[in-house]
Amino acid sequence: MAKESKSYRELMAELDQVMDKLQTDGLDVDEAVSLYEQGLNLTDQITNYLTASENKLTELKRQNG
Amino acid sequence: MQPNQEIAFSVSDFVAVCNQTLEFAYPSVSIEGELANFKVSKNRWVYFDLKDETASVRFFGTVYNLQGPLEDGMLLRVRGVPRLHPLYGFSVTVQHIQPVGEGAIRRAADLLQAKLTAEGLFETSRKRPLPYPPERIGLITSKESAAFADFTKILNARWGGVEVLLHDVQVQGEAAPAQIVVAIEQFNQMSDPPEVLVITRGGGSAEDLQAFSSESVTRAVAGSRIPTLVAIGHEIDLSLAELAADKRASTPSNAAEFLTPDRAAVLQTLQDYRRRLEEQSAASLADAQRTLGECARQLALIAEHALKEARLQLSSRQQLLKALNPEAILARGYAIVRADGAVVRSAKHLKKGAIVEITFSDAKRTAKIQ
Repeated sequence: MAKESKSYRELMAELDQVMDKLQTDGLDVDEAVSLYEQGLNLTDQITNYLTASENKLTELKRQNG
Repeated sequence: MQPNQEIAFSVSDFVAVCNQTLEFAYPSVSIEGELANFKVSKNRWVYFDLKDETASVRFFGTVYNLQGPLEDGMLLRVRGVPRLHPLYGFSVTVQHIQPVGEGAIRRAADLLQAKLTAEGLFETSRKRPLPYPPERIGLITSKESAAFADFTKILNARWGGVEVLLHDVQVQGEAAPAQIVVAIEQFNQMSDPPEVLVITRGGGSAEDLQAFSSESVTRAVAGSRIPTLVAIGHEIDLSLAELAADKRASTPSNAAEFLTPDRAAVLQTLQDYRRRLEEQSAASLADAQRTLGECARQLALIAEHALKEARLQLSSRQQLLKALNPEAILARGYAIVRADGAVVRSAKHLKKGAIVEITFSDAKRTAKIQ
């Protein structure tokens, strides 16, 4: 539920944070894998978010002719 | 009867007999002639002669007999009572004075106009606006006249619902001025007076129209508390009453036209307004709809643009993320060495015989250090 209520901006900020950590020197491999997983998870969420927004916009355009 | 037996009158008796005879023969007489020796004494008594080529007659009257100022040389018709005065001889006691002939009438009107102009009776600043359209009109004219018929016909054709109170008067002749003055006064004395007085008559000779240039009528028009509209004769006839009125109209019909709007024209104007309003509101509505549609399209474009931008940002991060995938490094032939669960970063941390776990891209294996 908490995941759904996050805004695009929040999700993007989180993703940027994960990417920054992932690019840190001397990162532990296990940590890197975990961050990578988190990154993938966030990109999925953002993709869903954007797809939902695009669908909504298409629907609104259809309704208003 | 012998001449010497003739009865001799006393002087007084003779004057009395003469007066009786005159009174019997000419209780009243009208005489026309040229005015001479005109003079006013003590602002009250009027003396003058009427003469022609061979004779001259003396007249005596009061200023109340005058319709306006007079001047020697004018042609007058004077009605009066002939009388032989016991001391001063023969004269005619004036009852009514009227200028006759175009020249005299014009001259009399000019003299009166000059006098009343000097008094300020015709000042533009005195003119009051007339109600438009009035609800009640006080009409002063002759009921039998074409002027009355024309005025009411045009009035009803144009507007209607206007109450017309008629005061029937003579519009020409000796009695006309007094009747018109009384009519103006009576309208002014009403407890619920009309909003405007219309004084009108049709065209006629200068003599016919004289009443409307008389001093009494002109003063009554100027003095009316009710605003006045005077229309006498045709376009070219201009009476002093018209000059004194708040508004002058050229004819009775013109007076009715001036007082009321034309119903048909008003309706047409209203319809035009209505059509224009409808057109304007339809145009504004269409305009608003166009603007709104444009706004909606702009909004959609902005939203689409924002989404596209977001997609780009996401895709750049996805690519970067892909490059940072640790497993992709393993696929290229690298392996991860762990000892006691910790990643081994240097060979010097491994002693001979130590057991390590090697992670490949596809599986893990255990090995012993030699």
